[in-house]
Amino acid sequence: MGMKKKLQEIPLHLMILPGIILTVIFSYVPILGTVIAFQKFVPSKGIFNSKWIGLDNFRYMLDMPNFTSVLWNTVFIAILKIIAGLVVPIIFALLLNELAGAFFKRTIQTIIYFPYFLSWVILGGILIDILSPSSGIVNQFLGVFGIKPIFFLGDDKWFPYTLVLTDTWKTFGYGTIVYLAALTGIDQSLYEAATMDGANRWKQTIHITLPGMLPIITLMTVLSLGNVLNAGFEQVFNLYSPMVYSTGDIIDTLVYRIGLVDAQYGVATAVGLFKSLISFVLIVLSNKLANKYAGYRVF
Amino acid sequence: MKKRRTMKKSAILCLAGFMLLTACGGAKEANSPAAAPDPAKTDVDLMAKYDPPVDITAWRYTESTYKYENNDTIEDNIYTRTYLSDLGINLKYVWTVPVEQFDQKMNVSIASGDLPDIMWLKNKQLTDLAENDMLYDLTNLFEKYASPITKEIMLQDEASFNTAKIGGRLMAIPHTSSAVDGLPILYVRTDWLEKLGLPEPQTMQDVLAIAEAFTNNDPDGNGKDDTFGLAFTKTFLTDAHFGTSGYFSGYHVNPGKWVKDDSGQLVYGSIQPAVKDALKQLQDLYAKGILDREFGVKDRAKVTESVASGKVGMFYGSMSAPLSIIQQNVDNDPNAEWKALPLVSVDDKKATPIGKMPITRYYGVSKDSKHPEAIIKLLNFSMQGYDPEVAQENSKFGITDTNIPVYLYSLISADPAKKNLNAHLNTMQALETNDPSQLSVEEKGYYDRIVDYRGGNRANWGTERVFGSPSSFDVIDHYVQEDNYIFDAFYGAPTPTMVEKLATLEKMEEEVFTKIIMGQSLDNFDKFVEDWKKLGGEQITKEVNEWAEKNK
Repeated sequence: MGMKKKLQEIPLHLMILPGIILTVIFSYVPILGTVIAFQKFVPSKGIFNSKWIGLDNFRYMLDMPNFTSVLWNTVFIAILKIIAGLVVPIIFALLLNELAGAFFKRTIQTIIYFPYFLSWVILGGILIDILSPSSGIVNQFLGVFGIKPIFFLGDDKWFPYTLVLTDTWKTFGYGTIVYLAALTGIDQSLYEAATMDGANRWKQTIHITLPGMLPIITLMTVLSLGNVLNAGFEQVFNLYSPMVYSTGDIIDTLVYRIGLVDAQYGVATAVGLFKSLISFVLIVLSNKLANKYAGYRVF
Repeated sequence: MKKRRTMKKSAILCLAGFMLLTACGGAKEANSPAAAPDPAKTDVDLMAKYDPPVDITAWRYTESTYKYENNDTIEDNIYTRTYLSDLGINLKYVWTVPVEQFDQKMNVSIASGDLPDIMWLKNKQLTDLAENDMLYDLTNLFEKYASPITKEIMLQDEASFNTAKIGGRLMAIPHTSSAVDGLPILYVRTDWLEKLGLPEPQTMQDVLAIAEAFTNNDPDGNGKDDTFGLAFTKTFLTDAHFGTSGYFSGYHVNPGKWVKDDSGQLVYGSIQPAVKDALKQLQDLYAKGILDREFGVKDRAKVTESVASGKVGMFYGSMSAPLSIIQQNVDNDPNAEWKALPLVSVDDKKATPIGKMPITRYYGVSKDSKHPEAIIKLLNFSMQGYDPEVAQENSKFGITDTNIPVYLYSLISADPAKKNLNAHLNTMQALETNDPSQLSVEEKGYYDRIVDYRGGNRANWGTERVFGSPSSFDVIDHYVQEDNYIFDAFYGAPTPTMVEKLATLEKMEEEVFTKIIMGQSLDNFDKFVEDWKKLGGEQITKEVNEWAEKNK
């Protein structure tokens, strides 16, 4: 019986084979390419014949006058995005869950999900218009409350927050759907019992809904921590300008300029590798913490 | 090569024959090396049509302005079809990308080491590939096989042509064109001038006064405060349209370019002391709302929108602006009228426009290419268009009757040094005498469209304002007549320190200049000059002067 069952499972195991092959080709083989971070890489000589220079590229990276500020910008923007990206969808999912009409609920769900499908290239052009201090709809709205126009995309104090807000606006529909799905998995009889005991909606939310969502919230948090140095290349690249370089330049835009524009592949790889290492340490750390405090582990 | 091809064919035929169980005598013999003479050693006519045709791979960029008809594409058009039918060249693009992505795509492809036969390159990549011995040395092929008309056109501006030589060897075919075409011009909305009763600007002071009036005196008469005097983009330091090059020339400084100082040494234009005065003025304009307060986030497409919707009255641009930018405004507004004017100066010294070396791309051949001579065939073919003897039959390779510039599809092209300026002068002469018979095909196209415009069709306003009169080429002709223009004195490949530091320095410059214009203290300029020197600028200056010494 046991043997037969195992044989039956073979086709199921085979089904993950394409996935494994693709992961190896596109995620593991390129790791070998990171050796150029330790080389004076010349494309025509290739990986095998380029000169080995040890940690010089890393030293060069740390010597760059703007590296620390770029690192700080990246961490700052990414952390704000992680927090907003967790809190906003949870609140929204809870609010949507309280809505009665299924049609109304779905309509809202669709509307907030929509920006997720627009690319930053398109949004870049739109945001310049709607955030414009002279004619943009956002500043006109703020003007109603007597707030002076804010140059969201051109003021280096506001720029990081603008990035976080627009990114959250674009992606929170996606997160909301995940949490709504988690909500449907909560045992309805718990609510019935709570109602019998005289718990109001708020008490129910605190004592039933949130604990029910906790595993998925922990999972999403752990997964997002791996992104702590991903402040969002596409978004920053399409929205930044010389005025906001000081607070808007992030590691990925720096790698883009060093690597693809200046063709200094070795240095660009060193910066990219540096970023990956830090991300790796953070995700291991957060997994440990999640295991310790919530009993949850990804690996 | 021809032979090898046929051999392969016969071998395949033989294989098929074996399958049919028939004997195939001689197959083995034909495959042996002894029976295959090296084609390079035999006396074949390299310039004859390939028969059978050969595959030539290439890469290139396209621009969003390209138009096609009859389902043509960049892979399949009048050029690719003619290459195949007339030259026996089956052109295959391994990739084509929009020009904006070209540098990245090219760098990635070069890094991967998989090079096509013919590559569009820029100066830096040309130097890199040549130094790593990956390019075919074209010196002898060009010398021997370039047609007389090809040589005549390409060598008109020999200094430019020689930028494709590395160590005295011709490592690529340069895309020669006209340097004077790139000189900046001041464009002013003259219907607004008339409305406000202002004269055309003669000095920088006039420009500033007009800019102020255009901003505050409601030149479009809509009762709203929604117009700007002067338009710039967020990349104003480098933009050919909506850039500051023409403005800074009014203060006799040249940010971003290398110029000779009084002692004959090359110095970087961004750190000249007078830049500060020019920046101070821009700061004032910004504070008064004469510049778009949001110029710092707007790219060329966004500012072009402002021009098209009638919000802008003045800008510095290159000769093509009436066609590529202003035409949209003219289409939208039946009263809109603009004029191109020479640069104005802040004092009694003339403003001198500065341009760049005209070679913006090179055509390199991979060292591994089996047919390096193909590039010369393609080049000779393209240059035939300038041969008056055969010009008529080549007309289909220029601009179609439906106004589509098909010449842009050509893989290899090059222009005579003063082609566009001469086109303007010839077209003007034909207009005066009402006799277009002496015009080239391209010029006849301009002539027809100008006649059409003068007959009342504003759709051809742009052609009149580029090649007719008054026009942008009137202004360029004026520069040439007065011999009042200079070029960026450095046009070599990036020096070692440039490769390492230039990106950081340019970013710093952009940031500091932008912020000063938007109101930060002018003292930041002095700090910038100091930082620039310290962070590699001094070393770069040294290297640039060494280069200049070598290339005297």
